[in-house]
Amino acid sequence: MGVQIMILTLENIHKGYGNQMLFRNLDLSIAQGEFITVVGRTGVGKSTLLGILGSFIKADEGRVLFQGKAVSKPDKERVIIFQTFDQLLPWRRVSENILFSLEQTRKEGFDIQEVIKALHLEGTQALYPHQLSGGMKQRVAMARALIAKPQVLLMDEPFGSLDPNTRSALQRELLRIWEEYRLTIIFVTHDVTEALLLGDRTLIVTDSGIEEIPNPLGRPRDKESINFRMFESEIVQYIK
Amino acid sequence: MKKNNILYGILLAGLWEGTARILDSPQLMPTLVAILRSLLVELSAGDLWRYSLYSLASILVGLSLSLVLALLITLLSTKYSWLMEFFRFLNTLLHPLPGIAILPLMILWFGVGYKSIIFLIVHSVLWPVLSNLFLALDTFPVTLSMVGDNYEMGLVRKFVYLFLPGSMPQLIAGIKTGWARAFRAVISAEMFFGAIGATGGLGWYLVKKRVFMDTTGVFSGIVMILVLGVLFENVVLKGLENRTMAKWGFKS
Repeated sequence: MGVQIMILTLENIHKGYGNQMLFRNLDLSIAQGEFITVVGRTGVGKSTLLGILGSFIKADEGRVLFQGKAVSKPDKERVIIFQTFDQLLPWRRVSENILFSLEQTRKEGFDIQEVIKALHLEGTQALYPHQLSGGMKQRVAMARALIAKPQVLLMDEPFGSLDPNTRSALQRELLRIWEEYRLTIIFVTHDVTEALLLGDRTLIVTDSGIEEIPNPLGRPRDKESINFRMFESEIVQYIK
Repeated sequence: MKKNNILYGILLAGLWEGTARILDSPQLMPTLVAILRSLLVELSAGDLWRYSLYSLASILVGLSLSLVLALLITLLSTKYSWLMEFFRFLNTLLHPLPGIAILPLMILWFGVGYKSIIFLIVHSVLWPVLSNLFLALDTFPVTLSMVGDNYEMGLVRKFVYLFLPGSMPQLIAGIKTGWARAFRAVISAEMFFGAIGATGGLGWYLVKKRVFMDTTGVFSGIVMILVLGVLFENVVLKGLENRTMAKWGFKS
């Protein structure tokens, strides 16, 4: 096994809101190309962790290192995708929304047609976001992030508001995109099955800190298989 | 225009015509036919156009100045929170103050003339537009702002590319209120000041017609104001709404 390059590192992070302390002395290293999933109860700090990793939220103490350098502001290499559908610009058509990241970052990105094809957005280019379903909106948000070739995708329950079928389809597409573009993904979800289906490693956020669980299951994964079910029940018990 | 509005218009016109004919007093209440005849005469002579254009030009200058000012204040307020607090305070004080109340002060400061009218319009338009833009800032989606941060957009870029189109509903609502208040202000000021420069506006036209006891002329001026108001609302603002809010899904 080759030497792993750490793309994102948290060093001695402390973060709390008022009297509630979410993280104490938190250290975390994420390797380039890794798919990390984050699970935990509501309000335990999953989104805060993602916010700190993207520098959207400032830690009370500690450092965030991106490619070995300390960072304090969000940047175009660590792109966040939200659960809410209002992340798209309502006044721009689908193609204009996708190109927004390229226009603003002035990066040499992927060809728009390639991204549209990768995310099955053919025929929607001229539509406005309000004319799209929830699943399509999330595809557009992913396309906008992807086209500018970011190093890291930070995904905050991106499929949380979707119906089960759309969710499964998008999970498969996300895995395909991750493998094809060799991205680093940090994916927050409250769904344990989704976390185990997608991640190389799962971070379980609890009141007492973060537990890292490597995923022993090979890919592709079948969520109906006995091994998956057993692993899933272990994790569910652990969270409880 | 809604079908019902046309019906209401016809009903109102019928009521007017009937009452005027029963009263039979052209000096107090001329018939609709007489008013329309006078309107056509004034329009074909070109006078009413001139007066209307003068008032409209003043409103457009004042409205544009107010919009630029309001946008500039909002942009700076996104950077300096104390500035927003200060302008919120000023807004609370000055928004309810009627333009006509500051007219004497305008005369003392700027004299009787165009400058005073423009200042008055700016006072009438700035506050409603500003309070709408502040409302847009307060309710602007956090996620969109984070998208801007994510792509390393500076303050001005975020304002132009995200905030301005995103605040279109509040901006249009502000212009709507501002336009109505500007029209009131300009007519009051023109009536107060009389002729300014080579001509005067619709306010001066109304005063002149009243002085000569030309009641149908007064009504022609009022009809002209109503028509301009309806046209601005239904053509300019509706057009803007259809090209933006309706297209973008801000409005069903």
